[in-house]
Amino acid sequence: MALFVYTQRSTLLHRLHPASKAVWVIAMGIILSIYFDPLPLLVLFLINLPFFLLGKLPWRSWSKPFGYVVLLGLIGYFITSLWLARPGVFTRYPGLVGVSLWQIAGEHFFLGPMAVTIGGLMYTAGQTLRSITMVLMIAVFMYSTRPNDLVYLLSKAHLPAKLVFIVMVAYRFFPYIFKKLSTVIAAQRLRGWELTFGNPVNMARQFLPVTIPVLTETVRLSDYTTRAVESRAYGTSRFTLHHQLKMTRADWIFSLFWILVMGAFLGLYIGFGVGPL
Amino acid sequence: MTVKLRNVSFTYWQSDRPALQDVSLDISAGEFVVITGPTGAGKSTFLQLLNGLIPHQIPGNLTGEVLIKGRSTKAASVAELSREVGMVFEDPDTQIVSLTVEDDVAFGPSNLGLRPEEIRASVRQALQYTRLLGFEDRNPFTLSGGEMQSLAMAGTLAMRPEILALDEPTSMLDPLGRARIISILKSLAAETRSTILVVEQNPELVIDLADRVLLFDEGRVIKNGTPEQVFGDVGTLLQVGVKLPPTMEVFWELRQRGLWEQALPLTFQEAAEALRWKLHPNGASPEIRVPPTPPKEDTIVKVQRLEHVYGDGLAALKSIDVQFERGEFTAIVGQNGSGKSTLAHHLVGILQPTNREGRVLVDGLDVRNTPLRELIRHVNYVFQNPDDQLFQESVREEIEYGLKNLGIGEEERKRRLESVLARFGLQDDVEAPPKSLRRGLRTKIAIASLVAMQPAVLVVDEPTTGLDRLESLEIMRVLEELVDSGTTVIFITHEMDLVAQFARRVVVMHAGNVLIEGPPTKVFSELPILEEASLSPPDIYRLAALLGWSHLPPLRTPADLADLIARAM
Repeated sequence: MALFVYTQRSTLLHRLHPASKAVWVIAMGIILSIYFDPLPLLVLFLINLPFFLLGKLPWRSWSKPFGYVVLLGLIGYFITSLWLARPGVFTRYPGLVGVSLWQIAGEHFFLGPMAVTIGGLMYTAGQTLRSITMVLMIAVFMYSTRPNDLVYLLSKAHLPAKLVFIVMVAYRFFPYIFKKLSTVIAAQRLRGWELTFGNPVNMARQFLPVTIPVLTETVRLSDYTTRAVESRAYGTSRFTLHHQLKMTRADWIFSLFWILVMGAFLGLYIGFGVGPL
Repeated sequence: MTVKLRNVSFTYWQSDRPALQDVSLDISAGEFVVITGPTGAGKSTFLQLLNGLIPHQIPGNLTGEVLIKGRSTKAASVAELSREVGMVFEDPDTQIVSLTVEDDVAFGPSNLGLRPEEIRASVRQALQYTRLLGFEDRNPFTLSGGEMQSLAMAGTLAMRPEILALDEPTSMLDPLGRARIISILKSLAAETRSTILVVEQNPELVIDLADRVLLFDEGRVIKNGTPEQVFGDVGTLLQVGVKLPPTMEVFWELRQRGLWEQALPLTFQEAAEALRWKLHPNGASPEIRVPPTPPKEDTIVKVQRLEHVYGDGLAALKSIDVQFERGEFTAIVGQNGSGKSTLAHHLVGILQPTNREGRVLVDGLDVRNTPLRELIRHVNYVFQNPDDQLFQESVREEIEYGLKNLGIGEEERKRRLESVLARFGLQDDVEAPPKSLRRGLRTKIAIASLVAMQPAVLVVDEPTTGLDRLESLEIMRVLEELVDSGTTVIFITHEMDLVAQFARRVVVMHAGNVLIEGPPTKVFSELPILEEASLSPPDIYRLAALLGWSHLPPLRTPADLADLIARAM
């Protein structure tokens, strides 16, 4: 499992200064948080795509976990969209609200009326695109940025040591949690554990044999990692690096590009109402 | 004095039993101190006092005074103390914070705010000491266990502490990893003036380096002296539950038979010398009758042309053929990465062969075509870490969980529960939360919960990792009883002493292949093959081999070798 794990390679993204990659993540984060319309989100995804490819990600080992993320996202957003048929939800395309492909009246279902609408499907597509772009961007960032460089950068930004520690440990925890999850699922399947679909409360309960060991072990790891990190003088002094970290021309161009992209999309949002559904 | 403790007592938060009681001792600069004692004796608590983890990180009630180079640990933070005391923990996995070897080693010096050139010099020196030069760009999580623990040591050494404290640094490693860490410790002891403190369950590994041994029991230092003084008092060691190292035990057994009066040899080399020159100078061989190997009768697990290639291209199994007989107690041994766990995962259907011809048959079922729910009625697998499995609020619920999933009725569930509780000696803990119990008991519960499902074959992955010798024996005896009652047990281990004592057959794996299989006596006499797998026979076989005897009978315990020596005298 190589998702969300820094890997030492020589790619353009690996060579970029972490600050310029942080500009990318922040700029995209702002746009992605206000855009819901799948069409501009698709454009945004296509703008990002070359950079995802430039990172030379290990697509083979990523495809499976990433596929699950996309699938879960699609299902989750689709279910949410079933209740988004109310007028007023889609301000940019109000006409779409009425286009109902399938519906169920409120009196027939305890959660109220539901409908599959074109607006709902657009919502599902938009949210899925947002998630894919966001997940890929964060994954590429983590894949290509050395944890020590990030600690250095955040320390330079005068963030509190505890906050920097959380970021650092997050790097460490992603691969651990994925690995632990797969072991615990295997261990419980060998005890006859199976996931059956149905009542959401029962489904949540069914996850306890997996979530409890994973959480307990994650807490244990965090406890021991905290001890190990403290034992290595974390938080005593100014964090220094053993290698040079300088903004190059490529870094400035990269940062400027994303600031321009953010400016353009903000302009479309404010000036032309592009973005909301 | 570098380390000074005065009347130190410590009780963990929410515990009513003190972990340390009135400990007073001094350690001088440059000393190599080995700390030993049974599980729960207070050894790790003692180490955690030295760099201030107690009381700054770990809550509890601390009285008395701990001084490091004259400075009270209460007055300094853990991070400040880290300049003086470098700490290496048991589990290498929890100590890695960065994602390249070089960055991880540089993490400590970076935190100290050193200049880049100073950091680079420290990193290089630490990598040199730990034999990790050339590994700088590697991801730490792709390293072997021994290399990872070396990295944890390098991360600490790069901060150039005067005191190095290591908490069971070899307990989670395979033999190759252990040898690597011991060799690094030897270099450090010889080439630096560091004060080194090592907590070690197998003190024979480092005893030849020790200036002093501290024996802990129930939170007290009950013996503090040279290795000869501490290990010379065998009565005390046995009384507190410390199992003697195997070579020492051979001579202890000889002493019990009135055949040895001198001091007990502490190391393998000393024992070998004693045997060569004092016991058996002329090499005459005792009359040895080797029992014939029983013929194979009833195959319960058959693995044919099994291959497995992981997603990253690693060929973990290379067309292996192996079989296991019904009611056998078999050990699978090999270094980490040799394919042991991958093979075991195929037996229970967690993994499937990646080649078409590969076949695994268990109890008459083709694993590839059998649903897991059906398969687990025939074969099951206990993971190395019991905490990957335990989640219930009581031992009773934990054991019943699998039975409920299999749809076993209440009456039968109750019967099986009573049966496994009795077999595993868990009656007193039946309502206790499993997570609150010590690791030895948690391992037992994990095994018991699967035994209750009554599989014909049980595969157990490194059941004794992290346990002391007595706890390990307890677990192995339970498994032996299972075999006696008809279950086929396959266990994966690095502990060759346990293989000799319990296994009736051994499968040696290396680089995805089965190198050799057979009864322990046969396998342990094939030294070139063991060497190829980077393994060595247990100490009792090594000692017996030194005597030049051929056709050894099965040696299960040091007492067996002592019997043999007694017959030869």
